[in-house]
Amino acid sequence: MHIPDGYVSGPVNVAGAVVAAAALAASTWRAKRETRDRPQTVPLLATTGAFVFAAQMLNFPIVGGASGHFLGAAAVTALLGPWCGCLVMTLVVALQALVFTDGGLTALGTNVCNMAVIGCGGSYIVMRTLRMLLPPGRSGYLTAVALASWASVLLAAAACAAELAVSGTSPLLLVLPAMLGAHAIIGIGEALITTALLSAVIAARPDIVPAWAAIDALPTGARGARPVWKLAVGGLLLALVLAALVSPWASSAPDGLEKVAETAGFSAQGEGPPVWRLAPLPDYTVPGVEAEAVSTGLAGIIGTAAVFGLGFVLVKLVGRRAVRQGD
Amino acid sequence: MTSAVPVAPAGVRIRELSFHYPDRTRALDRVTLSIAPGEAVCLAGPNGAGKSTLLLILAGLLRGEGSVTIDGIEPAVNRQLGLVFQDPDDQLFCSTVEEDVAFGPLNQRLPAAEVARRVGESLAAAGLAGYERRSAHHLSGGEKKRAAIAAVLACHPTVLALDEPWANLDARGARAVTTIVREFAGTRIVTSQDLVRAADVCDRLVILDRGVVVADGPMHTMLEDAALLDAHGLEPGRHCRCCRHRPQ
Amino acid sequence: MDRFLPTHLGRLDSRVQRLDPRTRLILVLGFVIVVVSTPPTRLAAFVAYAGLLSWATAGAGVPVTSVLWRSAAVLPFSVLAASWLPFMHGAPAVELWGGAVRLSVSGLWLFAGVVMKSLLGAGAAVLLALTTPLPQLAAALRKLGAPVILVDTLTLTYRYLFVLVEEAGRLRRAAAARGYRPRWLGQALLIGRLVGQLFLRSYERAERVHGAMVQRGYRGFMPTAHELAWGVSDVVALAVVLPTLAAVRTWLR
Repeated sequence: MHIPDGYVSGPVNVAGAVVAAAALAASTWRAKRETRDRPQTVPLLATTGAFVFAAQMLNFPIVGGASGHFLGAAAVTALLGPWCGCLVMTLVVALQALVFTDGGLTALGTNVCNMAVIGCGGSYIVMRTLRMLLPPGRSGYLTAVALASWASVLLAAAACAAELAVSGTSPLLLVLPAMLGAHAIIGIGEALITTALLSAVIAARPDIVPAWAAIDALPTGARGARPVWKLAVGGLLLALVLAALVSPWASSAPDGLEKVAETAGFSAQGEGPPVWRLAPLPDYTVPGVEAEAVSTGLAGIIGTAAVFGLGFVLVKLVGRRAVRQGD
Repeated sequence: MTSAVPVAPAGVRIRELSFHYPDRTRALDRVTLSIAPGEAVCLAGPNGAGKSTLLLILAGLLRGEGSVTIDGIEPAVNRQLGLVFQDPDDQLFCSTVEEDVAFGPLNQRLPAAEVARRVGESLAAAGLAGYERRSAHHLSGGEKKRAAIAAVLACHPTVLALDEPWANLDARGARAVTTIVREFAGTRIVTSQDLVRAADVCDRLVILDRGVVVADGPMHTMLEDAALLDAHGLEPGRHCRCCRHRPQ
Repeated sequence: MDRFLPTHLGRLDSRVQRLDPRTRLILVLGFVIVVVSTPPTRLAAFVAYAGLLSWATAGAGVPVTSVLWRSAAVLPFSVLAASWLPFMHGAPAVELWGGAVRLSVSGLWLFAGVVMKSLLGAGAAVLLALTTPLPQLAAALRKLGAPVILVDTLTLTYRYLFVLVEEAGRLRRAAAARGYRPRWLGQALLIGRLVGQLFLRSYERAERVHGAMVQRGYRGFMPTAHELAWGVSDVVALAVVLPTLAAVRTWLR
């Protein structure tokens, strides 16, 4: 997901840099304020950044020979809050660009925007929303974390695809389904890792977990007391949100090649000079999406619900195993 | 390693010191101990005896109940006691050895010339002259340990405390640490499981077990008390089993 | 580990490395911005940029091949994100194999553009990384007005990066030694547990590092002993290279 130099247009880079700089300024200010309550903030942010970097090197298998790796935005958000999390992710992305030449220097703002600002901000919003909807206690929190980390990967991938499309580098109809399709699966790995991470932290150092996690509100064993309807409403709401976000494009993935031929035919009729245009959204991408959005919506909801269900089952699995380990 | 760091040794007095961790586990239970200026003491005992906690309190990084004074003053963080951590990676947080050694003196707002002098002096005392520009990550375990000691010495402590200084070092590295500790002219407190190496440095042994001082006496007589050592998870070391002072 | 220890490949006393790190940072940023903003059809300008980059590489005493190899790492991204450009970016078309494959000229140019730009951008970044260890870069950022807390955190992150990467490697080996051979996605769970251990260790390390800092009088910022200073060569380098880049960008076609 690290965009190199030359792939996104000037305006996108400038916009990305402005957003990234604003977010960095805000999170630096917040981190500075935090040092008053927690004097070890600077070394903590640093070792957490180093941790994210190291954890990103532990690849996990997807299928066949393909593998994905941990992003970490949701994890640091769950552990340090959105501001410090964003600061940590920004430093990680900046280090990757400056020292390990992962991601271009001109695209640094854009990359920070995707992986730090959208990754942390998005996962925080999802996490807090779900935290309100899901029952209190450990498993409710872990479910929220799992879904938020899946969403954070998807959101960052969607942003990346949108930037490439707006810049005219890749057609939206091709890059968005490709990115979302791949990252919907990578996101499951992210969700598994983040949930296992958080349950390990809850078992060993519950004092680290933020107060809003409300992990102690309900004893983990008291299953009978859980309001089931809240869980159902939360799941449904999330499914709808994700469906609205993902499905119109995701469901067009299978016939992506047809689309390519189609759009190539379209654009062959009238095209400008062969220069690097600072293009807005290329006009051939929008109509196709709108025409199919409604019809694919239903399929999207079903698909999302399936993923949601799968994620939930996996979370339960992780939770139970972690508890056994904790004993 | 001839250039010793100047020091006026200080005495340490600990009276009725207790410490509880936040989860109510008791780490120290009414410990009373006094260490004379210039003395070299080894704190030994099984894992979890409270040795490291005691050093953290002496360094002013933790606060316990009871009274602790170094040279008659409560330990503040920290001018009197320099603590060398067990893992040197925790203590070498700067980019180069020089920056790490200069960190303490710079924080004391000393003039640049004095900082440079202290860096040179401390590195020489630790046998690391010429290592200024090296990065901590590329040092060997023994070099890291010595660099961490140099970083502490540069603050000119009157008491040098070392937490398991010989752990994870090869024989050469361990000998180098022994030499540095012996040449330090101030008061020394060492925690160690390795009584053989500790005996090269310390002339007094204090055994802590479950937060309580269970024995306190001259190193060499205590090393002969195999029953006592064994009761507290310690070993006298091989040379005592074959030498004349073999316990009967 | 090769990827993680890129510094010191060049001679530390080379002409480039005697420049102030601020100069190096500004030159590299200027270079990539100019390169990225150049229309892809101006081949001559790109040749000039490549020439400039090789000249700087030679000046740094860094082998050109090592810069090339490292910057080639961006090529897979080109295949993923831009390989369809020649197929669909409009007329006029180039026909291959009797019309079986139609490629558009503008699409081909765009594709060539992103490949050239990403390679040159990565090359400049590689050269910066090879000649400028992060502590120098951090000093430059500090001097250029970046917030202290940010620069300190960046430096500390870099310091503990290696420690934690090694720790992660040890955990991974420990799992492999007990027969962990991940084959399907669900096995990411174990990675999650390793990651959990890694985080707990890193958290506790932060507490110890903070103790070590406080013990040596930490007052909320890292003190610096050596101040950076602009020299004549910095002024010359900036005054020559930046206008050259601007001239190439404006006139060379």
